[in-house]
Amino acid sequence: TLPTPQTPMEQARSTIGARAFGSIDFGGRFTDISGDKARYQRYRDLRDGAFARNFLFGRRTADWTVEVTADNIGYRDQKFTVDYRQVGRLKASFVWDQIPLFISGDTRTLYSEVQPGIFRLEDTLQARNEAGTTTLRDYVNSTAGFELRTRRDTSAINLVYSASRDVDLTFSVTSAQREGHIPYGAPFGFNNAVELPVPIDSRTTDASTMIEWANQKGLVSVGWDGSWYDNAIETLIWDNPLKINDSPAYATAYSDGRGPAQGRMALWPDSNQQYVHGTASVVTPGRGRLTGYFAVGQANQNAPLLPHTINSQIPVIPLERETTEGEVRNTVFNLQYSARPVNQFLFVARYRYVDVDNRTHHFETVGRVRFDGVLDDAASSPEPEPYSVTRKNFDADATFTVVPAASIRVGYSNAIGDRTFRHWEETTENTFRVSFDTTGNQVATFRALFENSSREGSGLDLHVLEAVSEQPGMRQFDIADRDRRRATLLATFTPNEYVGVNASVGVGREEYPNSEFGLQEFDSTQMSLGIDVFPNDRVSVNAVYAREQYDSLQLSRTASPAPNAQWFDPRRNWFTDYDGTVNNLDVGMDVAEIAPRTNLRLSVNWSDATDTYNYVLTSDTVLTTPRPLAPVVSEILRGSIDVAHRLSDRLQLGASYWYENYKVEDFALGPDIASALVLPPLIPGLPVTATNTVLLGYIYRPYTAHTGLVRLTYLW
Amino acid sequence: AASADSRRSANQAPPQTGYVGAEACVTCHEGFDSSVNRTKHAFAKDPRTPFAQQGCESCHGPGEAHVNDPAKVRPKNFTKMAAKEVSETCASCHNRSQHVFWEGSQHDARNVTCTNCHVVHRPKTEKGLLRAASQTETCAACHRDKANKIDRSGHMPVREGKMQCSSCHNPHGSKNVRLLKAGFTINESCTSCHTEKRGPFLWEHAPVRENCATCHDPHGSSNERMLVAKNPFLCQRCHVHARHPATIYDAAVLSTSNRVFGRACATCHSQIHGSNHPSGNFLVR
Repeated sequence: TLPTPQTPMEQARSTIGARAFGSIDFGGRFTDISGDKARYQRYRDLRDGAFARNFLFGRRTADWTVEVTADNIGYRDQKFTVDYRQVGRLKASFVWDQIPLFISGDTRTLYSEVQPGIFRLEDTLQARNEAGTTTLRDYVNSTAGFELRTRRDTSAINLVYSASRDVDLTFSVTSAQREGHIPYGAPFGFNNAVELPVPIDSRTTDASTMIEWANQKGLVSVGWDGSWYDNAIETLIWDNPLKINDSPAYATAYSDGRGPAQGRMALWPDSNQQYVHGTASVVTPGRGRLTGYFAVGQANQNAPLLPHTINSQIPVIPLERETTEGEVRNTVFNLQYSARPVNQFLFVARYRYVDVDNRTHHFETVGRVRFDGVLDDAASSPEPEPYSVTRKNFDADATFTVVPAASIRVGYSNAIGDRTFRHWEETTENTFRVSFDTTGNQVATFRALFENSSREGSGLDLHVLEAVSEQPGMRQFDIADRDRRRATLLATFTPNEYVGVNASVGVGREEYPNSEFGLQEFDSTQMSLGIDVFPNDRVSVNAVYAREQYDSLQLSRTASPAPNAQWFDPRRNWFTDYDGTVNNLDVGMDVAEIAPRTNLRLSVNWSDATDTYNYVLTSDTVLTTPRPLAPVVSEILRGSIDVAHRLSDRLQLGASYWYENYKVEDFALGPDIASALVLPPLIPGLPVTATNTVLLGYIYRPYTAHTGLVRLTYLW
Repeated sequence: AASADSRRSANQAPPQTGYVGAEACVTCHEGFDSSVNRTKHAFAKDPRTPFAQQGCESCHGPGEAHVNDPAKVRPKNFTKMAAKEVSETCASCHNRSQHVFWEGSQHDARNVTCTNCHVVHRPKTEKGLLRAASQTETCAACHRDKANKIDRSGHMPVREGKMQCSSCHNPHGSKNVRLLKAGFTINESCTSCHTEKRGPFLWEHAPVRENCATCHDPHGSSNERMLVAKNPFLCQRCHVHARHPATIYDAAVLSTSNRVFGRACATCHSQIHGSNHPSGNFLVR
């Protein structure tokens, strides 16, 4: 018998030339959350009330189509789209999409934001704390609660005009407005950490246009991309909870905040970036294609520079210039050739050049002010280091189809990176890879990959490390010498139409052989096993279990700087031994016609992550034995049930229930620790041990949530 | 549903020798015309679609011989064709825009082909005509480890439906590395949304300029802000300086040291992505 297509994927959509089509879900929702309501809702808005979502209205004719959608109407995560197509001539689309980010519903602060970016405390609080008649703990009941959230509203227009069969003109504009507050650190010294709800009010506008000519022989395109970031709040000013009056500079930042009455920080500056680019591609003999592209661009940032300090008691340090004059020039070039001269052989070679040339003008420093309280002279004040990097990559791969439906690929890559102001002037990484893939067989698929790479640096610049009192044997792991091996296996087996099995294994190891300090090694293992069962036309069940393991080892040394003997003493070395394990389970079941005109869908998702960080000392250590940190545990269990009953051809009654349970134990962000530091303590009775720290109470807390929905779906 | 023949327009190419037309195909293959009719392939007035050319036979090849001897002569069956032949057939039309860099791309080089992810007649999605019900499900068939990370506590809004794999990646090939869609480097891809971190800043942090993925796992992590390791341990992978960066922050100092509780190092070094303050070289202003 001939196979027949299944039911169309979306019932509401019609065929060309037919009547208008559409659908809408509407109904009511109820959510009950015990615990962290912010983390449950994170990027969505699940408040109680009536809802309308999955709205669709459209019409398709042979000459034009139009489609309008709306989702979560009236809620913070609402989305609207309009698509219009004049067949063969014009595609136009508009999107309005709101993405909320609910960070915390329980945050509290002593500060008042009197203007955007300016945070003030009661003068009496500062004065009494400075006088020593009170401490911060005396104000724990004076904090105001607020919700910490942001929202990104994105609107976009995209146009594609087909001037002819071969020529397209495209134009797009996207504008993303982001507003809200995020937790942000704003310190006055090592023991005076302050956390503030820093305001976000920025807009990114991207525009691009391109003309593209393409047919079966080749392609040519030329385009321009522009991007502008505008931040309405570029300065953060906040009061010092321990001071009411500015004090002259003091010697060290290992203090409890002596010095300024307020601090000032530069937030994200306005910037822009432009690119002009071109692409050309031509079909060559031997079923080949040569493709190249070239792009030149520039990023600029020229925001006004703030004075070195807001502390009135510290002499003004002259600025070398008033604005940043930041500039990065980018040059990108890529050439790729691929050919299949015979069916059994594919060859691909690619050269890629990317130059990120930071041309920010030299900024001469004649002094600096740390924490608005510590004045350093020119000799102690380094100058900015505008990092530049040039990457040159060459890749070549040959794929041989040794037997029908099975291929072996061998490949080689060479990656060179030239950098400024890094401890290696140049790094070179050589990678060899081999893969084996079976395809085109409906019963079994097998894919395997092995990759071996080695990265080495040259042109060691020890001054880069010495300038920041760094151990000379430390190598920054992102550019350090590295040997990496990686192997992956993927297999699927579908013996018949009733069952399918899939399995995967991935193993990776990274070693940093020449890093005396820093990251030493990193191992990862991932495996998964899944099954899909279709016992009959009405029922489908799938389940996937996956387990991941990660291990890393990094080496450090606790020491005072040279020439102190500690600096050279290996008995002061210590390791951080990290072990991470993640278990993941997904189970889903669909049952059609479980009762007359009724469908059922069930799903369960479980993710359980445990991370442990153990300190390991040398056998002859002179360091105090560390007290171990508790494991970090993060477990999410989600389940959902959905039942849909067709009342008529146009009307469907549905109900859903979602369950979500989050368990978390985090030694750094858990309430046990943070409650002693946040104002007021989340757990009454706990001692306030760090009186100089004002946090927001942004912590990890567990939650259990239940959401129920009843809906009617109307199709027209 | 309109019949395949009724959609033939003035734009449509006249039948060529060996071709029989879609009307003949649906005589036996009932329902396949209506399934195509729900897709953009059926827009006969668009000269780039199969239905502006030879209908079913634009993709499945001329059908006259098959009609004459159905048992012996088979049309192109995409589920049984070699990967490269499938790709070539689809790329004969899908040769522009996001498909420009398909040939020789990571997927193509491993014989992943169009029909591994897409299906014209029985798609489960309207957009992209995917085999699976979502992009995540489609990509997870091979990239299970990445898909699982979306379930971690720190994640992009993928499982909430506000992003999908193709928000960042173009599986058909790209100008960027790792099939990233925006920009020419990993950083440009990330800063296409996180624009505030684009800079350039007066004071830069080297690994930030090098690669965002040095510190962040964009697919998800159990750590705050999707960091690849928890702070302060992540920072200590590079900072073995004298004094506080190379200190053991154990349980004994946990409740009193702002270098381990909360957001650890970033509690003070909050300008970790770069500072524009003239005294910002420690990234605390």
